[in-house]
Amino acid sequence: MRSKEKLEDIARNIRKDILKMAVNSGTKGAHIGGSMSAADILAVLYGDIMKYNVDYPEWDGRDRFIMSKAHSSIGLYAALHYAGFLQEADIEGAMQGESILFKHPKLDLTHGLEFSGGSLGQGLALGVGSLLSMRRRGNSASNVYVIMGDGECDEGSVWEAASSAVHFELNQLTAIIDTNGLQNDGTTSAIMNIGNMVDRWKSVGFEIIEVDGHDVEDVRRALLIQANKPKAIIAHTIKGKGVSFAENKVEWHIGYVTQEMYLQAMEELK
Amino acid sequence: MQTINKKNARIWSMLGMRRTIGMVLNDIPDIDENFIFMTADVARYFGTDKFQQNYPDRIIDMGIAEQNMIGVAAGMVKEGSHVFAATYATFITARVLDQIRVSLGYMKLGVKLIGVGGGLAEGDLSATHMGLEDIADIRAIPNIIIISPADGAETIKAMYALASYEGPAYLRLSGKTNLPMVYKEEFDFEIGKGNVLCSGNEIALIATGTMVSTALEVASELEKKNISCTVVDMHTIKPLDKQLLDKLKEHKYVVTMEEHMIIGGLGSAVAEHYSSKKIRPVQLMIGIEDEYPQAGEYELLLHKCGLTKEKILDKIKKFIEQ
Repeated sequence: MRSKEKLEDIARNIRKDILKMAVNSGTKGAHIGGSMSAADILAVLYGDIMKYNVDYPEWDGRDRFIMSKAHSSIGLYAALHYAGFLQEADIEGAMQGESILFKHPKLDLTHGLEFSGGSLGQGLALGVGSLLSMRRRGNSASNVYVIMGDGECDEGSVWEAASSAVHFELNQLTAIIDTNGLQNDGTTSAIMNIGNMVDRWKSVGFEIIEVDGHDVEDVRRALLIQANKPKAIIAHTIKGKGVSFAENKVEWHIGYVTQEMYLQAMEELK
Repeated sequence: MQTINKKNARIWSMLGMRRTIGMVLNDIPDIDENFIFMTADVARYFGTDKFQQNYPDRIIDMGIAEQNMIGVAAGMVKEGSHVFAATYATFITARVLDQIRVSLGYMKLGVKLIGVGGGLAEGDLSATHMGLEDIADIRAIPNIIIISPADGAETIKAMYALASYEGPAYLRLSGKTNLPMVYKEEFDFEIGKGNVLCSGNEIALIATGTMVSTALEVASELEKKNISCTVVDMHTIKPLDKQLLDKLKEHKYVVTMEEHMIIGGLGSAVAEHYSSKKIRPVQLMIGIEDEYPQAGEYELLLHKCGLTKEKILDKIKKFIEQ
């Protein structure tokens, strides 16, 4: 296990990469809010929890990661950069020209991207299907981690998939709900109040673990808990975490990061 | 494996395409060791009892949750299973179109969709259960092939072909029980290659699904009036057999026939192909007008929608005379 400081360092570098990709996105804007809120979770997953092999990306023994809230792709790209699936040049060139890295990820196993994403509410079902096939193949060692947004949980398809994960007893599945309380148009409670997130996932039959999504040790503890049913980690987070001007601001769901803002944010992350 | 002969064709005709699928499922694990049949609470309609007994671990019921069925099927395919996901034509297409678009079209995950009730066969259940726009919906999405068999024998051929096809596909089943028989002996079936059932030179009738047998009847009536017809079973709507269409250009008229909205179906696909050709036949599109039919029995609906032999002959007569 890595030290708390090391995991925080990984998270800091993920945030720096997110900012680099954001500033390179220019006036088109970048989804920094949700990427920053998931940065610590990604650091723990790629830094300490998940099994993967950069030299053999298709290795069947790997854990599968699905960024269901796929507009947080720059957070994922940053984590894949840390893991070694992407290089510095990939991050520098992201969101530009012929880059493979755009606002939503595209299936590309050689770069650690398990599925294409962008249309919300579909990642959990893909995870359920992945596990059903892996079970048939006798692969009981690989886990599937799916990060969803709390806003994304408005989608009915999330709950169809959740029920099926419990029905098929997919105990290798971990759903992580990045619960930052904001969605594109406002707060999640104001836009569409779907009730208490913990109660909801519990009622479907998931093992629930609530964490501070920015406390790397808390997140790690939750990810290491063994359960005899699918797990839902309700991660309480702050959208835009780590960048003072973006923290908990609806307008930073997607925003234009100027050079000035970039330098200020990078300074804050030091 | 099934043998195509008169006796079996009669059995499949009695079963209809849906139950023929239920029967032929039992053959597929021999062709495809990773085969999985998935439904959304309609397994019984396919008559899967025997398959369930023979291969209990090859059938997955996803409950009444079609969106999830497509996502789960796609996830399974990515990890090595070959999943055929089946329910009503409209629920396996329109209801889940975005899942299909992302997972089958964009990611090219080779899920095979099976839709029953393509056309008017489920008409007594009302427009909610009629598969009228399914071809149009799927046709607009890249990378998914569309097959619409003409009868039970061709349904079996299509299933065998799809079992060894890697990419995403939509198998559209039409008609009810006591289907007319088009094929009563062994025949060639190749994805993307239309079957010419009889050759003439004046009118080319290009039909798909149940309309193939109707096209043969129409052609037989026209021949009596010395109007020479070619009849094509265009079982694959995408990719369309463009080579064959180019050959058919020599005909004076082309008549496309389908149990589907005129907008976006086989007729549209054929028209799209001919539209850029300098020399092209004049085309009459037979299909369902841009309106949902009132609920009713299948035969009545075929009549009301102008898809019976008599109505089609009338349309062709007016078309030629205009």
